[in-house]
Formats: sequence, structure tokens, C-alpha cells
Amino acid sequence: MHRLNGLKRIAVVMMAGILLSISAAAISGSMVVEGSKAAGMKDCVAPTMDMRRNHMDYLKHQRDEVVHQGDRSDKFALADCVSCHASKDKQGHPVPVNAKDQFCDSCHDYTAVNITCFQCHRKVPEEK
Amino acid sequence: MAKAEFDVPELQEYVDVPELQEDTMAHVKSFVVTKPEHNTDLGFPGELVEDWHDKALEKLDDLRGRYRSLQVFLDACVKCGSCTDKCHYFLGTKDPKNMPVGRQDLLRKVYRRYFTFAGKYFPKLVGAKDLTRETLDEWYNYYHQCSQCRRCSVFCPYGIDTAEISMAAREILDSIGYGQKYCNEIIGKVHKIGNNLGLPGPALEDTLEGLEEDMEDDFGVPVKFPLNVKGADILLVTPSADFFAEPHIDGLIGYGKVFHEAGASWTLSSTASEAGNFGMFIGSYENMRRVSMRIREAAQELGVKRIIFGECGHAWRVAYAFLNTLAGPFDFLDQKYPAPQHILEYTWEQIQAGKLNIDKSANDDMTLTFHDSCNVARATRIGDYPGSQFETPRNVIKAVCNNYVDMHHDSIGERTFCCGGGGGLLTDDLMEIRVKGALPRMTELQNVIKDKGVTHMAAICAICKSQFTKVLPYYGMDMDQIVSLHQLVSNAIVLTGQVTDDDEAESDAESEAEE
Amino acid sequence: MSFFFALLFILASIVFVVGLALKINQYAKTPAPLRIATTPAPITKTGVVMRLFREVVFFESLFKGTKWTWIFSWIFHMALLLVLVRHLRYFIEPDWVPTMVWALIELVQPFGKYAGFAMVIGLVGLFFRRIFVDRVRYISAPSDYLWLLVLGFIGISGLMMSFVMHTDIVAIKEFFTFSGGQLPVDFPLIVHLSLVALLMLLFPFSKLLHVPGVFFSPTRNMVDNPREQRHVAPWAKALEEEQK
Repeated sequence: MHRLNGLKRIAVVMMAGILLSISAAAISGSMVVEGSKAAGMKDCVAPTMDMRRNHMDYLKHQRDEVVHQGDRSDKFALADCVSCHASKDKQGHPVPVNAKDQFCDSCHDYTAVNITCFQCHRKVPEEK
Repeated sequence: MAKAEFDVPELQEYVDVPELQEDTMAHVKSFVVTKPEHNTDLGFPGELVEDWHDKALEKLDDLRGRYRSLQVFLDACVKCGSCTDKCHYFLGTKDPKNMPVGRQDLLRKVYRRYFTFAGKYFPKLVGAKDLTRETLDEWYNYYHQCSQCRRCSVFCPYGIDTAEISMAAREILDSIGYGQKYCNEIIGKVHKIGNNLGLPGPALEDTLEGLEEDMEDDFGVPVKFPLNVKGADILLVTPSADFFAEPHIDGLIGYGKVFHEAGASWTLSSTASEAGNFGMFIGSYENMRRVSMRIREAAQELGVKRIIFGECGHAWRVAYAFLNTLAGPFDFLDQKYPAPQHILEYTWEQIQAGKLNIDKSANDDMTLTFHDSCNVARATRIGDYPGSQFETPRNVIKAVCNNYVDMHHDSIGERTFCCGGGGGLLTDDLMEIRVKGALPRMTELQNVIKDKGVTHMAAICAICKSQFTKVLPYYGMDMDQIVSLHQLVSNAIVLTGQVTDDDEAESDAESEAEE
Repeated sequence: MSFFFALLFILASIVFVVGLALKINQYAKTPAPLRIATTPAPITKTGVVMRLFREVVFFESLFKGTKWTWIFSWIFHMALLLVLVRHLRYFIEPDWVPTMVWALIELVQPFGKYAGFAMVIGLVGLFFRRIFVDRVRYISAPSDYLWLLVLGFIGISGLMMSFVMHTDIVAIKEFFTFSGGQLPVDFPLIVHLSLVALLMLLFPFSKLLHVPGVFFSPTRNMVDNPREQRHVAPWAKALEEEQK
């Protein structure tokens, strides 16, 4: 190390630091919120890897099937997403899934993607 | 039709962008300096040095450190092709090395090979080439087929000006002793004698005296052409061609009449008897400065208050854009006026002030059009606002002529086509490229002759005038269809106390006869 | 793989930033001894700013020069700008910037998404022009075609991820914001990122230098005032002293 001059030494330290922070898997790995039904389950209706990438397509596909063919047999249904992923506040009331830091919002806000689903659809589980 | 050893292009209604034909101009090589003193007088080696390869690269490296233009222009070109159909020499010769970017690339490929990472390690990928004797000759041939007119620069998204590249290339060539005879011999004459033509003081005095006698005979008015008058207000610096060449001298007579009617105290100088500055053509700051300093010294010696330049394109560029830098500051002149001024600024001022008694009908035998000279159009102003370089000459023409029309809008103003003889190419050994390069201008001129009845074209550049005089006949037109702008002014001025003589009408009748 | 790309992008960013900075420094430090604005030129500094603005935003000179090239290259560059702004979402976290700015980044998403097509169309147009116009073909070196291909494949692989084969963008963002995310192993993403890294690595050594170059071009950025103001470069000043 003694052969390196000051500038090089700083560069080496910085590089090491950056690499360390990248390889440290600090990420939670999951956006599932505490207190939701989903928190207690092992898997979603499809593998998480798949859901992360393609949920928007599945939901759109299901919408078309329902609206055009009246077929509600598809396993991807927005109402199910909501009922499973909504958490409850201290009073035990369900919190909207698109509220700040909730299941939908946490990623959608993070990646600057607007959600338009809930302009029409329910954002809390249906009371049964 | 003049005799030609080459095919003169036929004039069509438009100049079609030609398909490429490689190396059609590879054989055109301007005479190289053979007498060493033509180089050494300018501070260059007398003949091609032995280690030219290393010296050339050294010079290129030196220049790119001294001129931001060169460094940026060598790097920034993206080969978009916008300039490819803009050069008159390409349009007239079909030779791709006469496309602006084709010309630039001759130097750029060597720059890349020796001075860029990509060119050093992946030459084929980026089109980098070694500097060889063939490259050197190609530089010489093709950089002396560029009139440095800057038309390409107008259309380049990065403003890349091939003139800057060709100036740098010529400076490199000069620095290794591979100079062009025409430019270098002329610059030597200016250094030694004081003007491009090598006209010594006494000869100049004779010419001017003769002019004064003619004026007295013709008009009965003592219009003077003073030389070396100390204490005069105005120093007129004009291209030496104005002293004897046609139609240049008619312009000189015009300046004299304007000064006379304005009651100005003015003088010419026998040491600064040349407005032209070929130092610009060869890209040599040192030589350009040395030539410019004569003007400063003459102005100081004569104690004048203003400096005014006669009709000359590149001279006006050097005067307007560079003189203050090269030979300034001009704090010893009257600060009321810009230093230097163009003769048209002066004349237009006099016209507006009503100092000149004008009879426009004196030019009724002509229908005029105006050729914007490239250096004036794309490197200067003639007035105090952008674009005045186009308006002031037209204003003056319209003030002294009744019949004026413009050529096609793509061939005037900032888009004007070069006459084909600028930038150090006005030499007989380059006749082929001069004639072919004039094609776009000749085409548009012919169009207004046919459609609008134009009989004459006015110019404000000594090189343009000489070039057109030579080239017009190749295209089936008459050499006297090119006129000096101040020749028109001269025709229209009625001198105070002028003898109205019916005999005078005779001389005009000749040119009228054709109509 | 994340480790490899992390190294690659750190290297590419350093080369890009340092290389470009050195070039800009070189352009800024090289004197321009003579006033060589292409006239008619502005006679004030504000005028020069306006001229450069028109040149950079509308490609004024190219418009004068050739309409086809202008259309394709303007579409390409403007689309690229939208696409780049859209990509800010991968590098900025919402709470790093004011709400307004984040709202703007959200707003631009759909535009940036479809601008990807415009970008590729522009590039295809430029590619065909390079092949079919004999003058442009003559002046093209292999690298000129390669740049168009590199940019084209960056665009196509990007569009793939938007329209054909999604990837995990949350993980990507976590990777690029040093939040410890692992890059998803998706083919279009690997192509996309590799080519972008290549572009960044080569940028300072290539014709992409036209980006800083346009701001330093003396024929465009000089004020047309040589008679009013004297300009002397340091080396010219030295020459003057020497010859006094």
C-alpha cells in the first residue's frame, strides 16, 4: 500500500466502500406490509419474481376477460390483491393500499408510476 | 468562348447535386514555391524539409493548442452530411474530396491517427490514416481548392468552418517548406514593396496623377487622388488592383468622386497601398499581423483620424474582424467612427446626408444584380447591425440605379456562392477549379439575365471582380458584365461644377448597344 | 453479475465524467485568437445565448442545411431527451427532491415511454440516409454506423422491457441507488446496460464530443463586436511583446 499516492489511496477506499454497500443485501426483499393478510402467507398467487414484473399485465388481462367474456375464473383479481395486501391501522380499520407507504404506493411512488386503478376500484377490502 | 483544356460545365436551370466521381480534381495542383526566398521571406523553410513527417505533426499539435476552432472542429464532426452539397467546388467538380467534410477529413484522419485514443488503437474503425507523402500531396492539392468562403459553416450544426481547417493545413504545409507560389510570392511583395502587385511608390504616384488628369479632362472638375498627405482626415486603404485593373479602377474613381463631393480631406498611402492580406489565406497569424501593421504605421505617420477600406472581400474580413486584434488598439484615431470603416458605410452616410448630387438615370442602360462576396457576407458587417453587410450595398445601389433585382435567395445573403477565385486561388494555374467552382454563381446569374433582364452584376471585392472578368467568357457571357459597386456610384454622381458635355453620352452608348 | 455490472458502471461513470471534464477543460483553455463568428451574428452576449439556444434546441443550422437529416436527427435527439428524463426515476428517490420535481418526473413517464419509438425511428432514418445517400456513405467510417447500431439496440432493448418482457424495476433502482438491490437477470436488461456502459466508456473518445463541442464552437459562440472591443489571445500578446 505504501507505494500508492494519496489520490489513489482515496480512490481505493471509495471503491471498496461503494462495493461493500452494494453487496450488503440491506434490502428488505419484500414490500409486503405488516398487519396485512399477505404478511402471514408464503406466496402470492404466482411467484413473487413474476408478480413484481408482470402484475400490471395480469390485472389488465383479467379485466378484459371479465368485461368482454364475463369470465371471473382467473386467479388474478384486483379485489383479491386489495383484500390480501391491505393493512389495518391502530383502530383496526383497513388502510387503503395506495396510501403513502402502503403496499401499492411503496413501489409505485418509488418508481414514479401513477396508479389509476383506484380512481374506480375499491382500495380497501370489501366488508363481509 | 475562351479556350479551355477541360470541360466547362453547361449551365442548366438548377445546379443539380452531382453523383460522386472520385478524384476528378486530383490532378489540379497549384504551382509550388520553387524559389526558396518566396518561403523564407515569410519565415518558412525554403524547401520541403527532410523530417517533414514529424515537423508536420508537431505543427498540427501546436496549432490545435493555439486555435480552439481547430481543436473543436476536428473533434465535433458527426458526419451528418449537411455540408456535403454546399461547396461550389464540389457542385462544379463532383469530387468528394471537395465536399467540405471530405476536405476536412484529409486532415482529420491524420489528427485521429496520432492524437486520439480511438485512432491510435482502432484506426480502421474511425477512419484514421497514417501521414504519408501521398497524404501530404493530397493536402496540398485539395486545401488549395478551398476558397475559405465559409458557406459550409452556415449549414453545419456545430458551425464547423472548413476555412479554419484549410488555413491550418496551409500553415502546416508552409511550416515544412511546402508553400504555394501564388500566395507566398504575393505576401513577400507586400512585405518588401507594400502591395500585392509590387507596384512601387513612384508608379503609384504616376497612376494617380493620370487619373486626376482624366477627371479634369472629362468633367472639368479637379477631383484629386492624394497620396501620402500628412494631416489628412481619412486614410483610404484599397486593394492594389483598384489602381489599374478593370473594372476595379472605375470603383476607385467612384471613391474619389464621393470624397470630393463630401469635401473630405483624404489620402492614400504608398506604404499601405494594399488592403488585401493574403496572410489570412495561408493561416499565418504572424504574416497577417506583419501585413496589418503597415496600415497602423501609415495611419500614425500620416496622422489621420479615420481609416476607410475600399471594395475588397477578404481584406474587409481582416480589417473588420481582425485588424483591431492584430494591429490595434486604434486609440489614436477619432473615436467617433468605428475603426476601420468600409467605403460603403461612408458613401451611404453621404447619400443619406444628401451630400451627393445623384442622377440615377445615368445607370439606366443597366439592370443590376448584386453578388454578395463571401467574406463580407459571412464574416463581417457593413453598418452597425447584423445583416447590414447585405443591406448597405443594396441600399447604395438602389440609391444610384433605377433597375435592380436580386438573384435567387439561396444564392445571396449568408448563402451566397463564392465567385470561385477567393482564398488564394486567383491564379492561372488553378483555372480549371476556378471555372468549375463558378458554376453555381454563373447559373443563378444566367437565370436573372434570362428571366429578369439583368445586364450587369455589381461586386465589392477585388478578387470577385478579377475572377468574373476571367470566368464569365467561359460561360458565354461578357467580361464587362461585372462592375464595381462604386462604378455605379461614380456614374450617377453629378459633380459640383461639372461640365455637361453631350460628348460624354458616347462612352455610355457602347454598353447600351447590346440591349 | 450485479458485482460485475457495479464495477462496470463505476468504471464507465468515472471514464465518462473525467474524460468529458478533461475535454471540456481543453476546449475552455484553448484560446480563440481571432473573432470568427459566422455572420450575421449577434452583437450582444444575450444574442449569443439565444443563438446557441436555437442551435441546441432546434438545430437551426442543420435545418438550413438538409431537411431530411434535420427531421430524423431532431426526432432522435428530442426523444432521447424525453427518454433520459424518464430514466431519472431510476436514480433519484422521491424524498431526495421537492414534490414538484417528483411530480414532473411522474408526468413525463408516459411521454418518455413512447418517445422510445420515436428515438428508434429517428435512428433508423439516419441509418438509411447513411447507407443510401452516396455523399454521406462516402464520409462514413465504420464507427459512424456502429454508433447508430449501439443507440438503436439500446432503444430496442429498452422498448422490449417496456412492452414485451418486463423486468424488476424496483430491484434495478435499488441497485443504481446503492440500496443493495441485485440486478435481475433479464436478457434485454443485460443488453441494455452493457451497451449503455459501452457508450459511456467511449463517449469522451468519439464523435459524441459534438455535445460539448457545440457550446465551444467559435463560429457560433462569439459576439460580433471586433471593432468595438479588442480581443487578444495570450500567445498573440506574447508575440506582440516580442516584436515591439
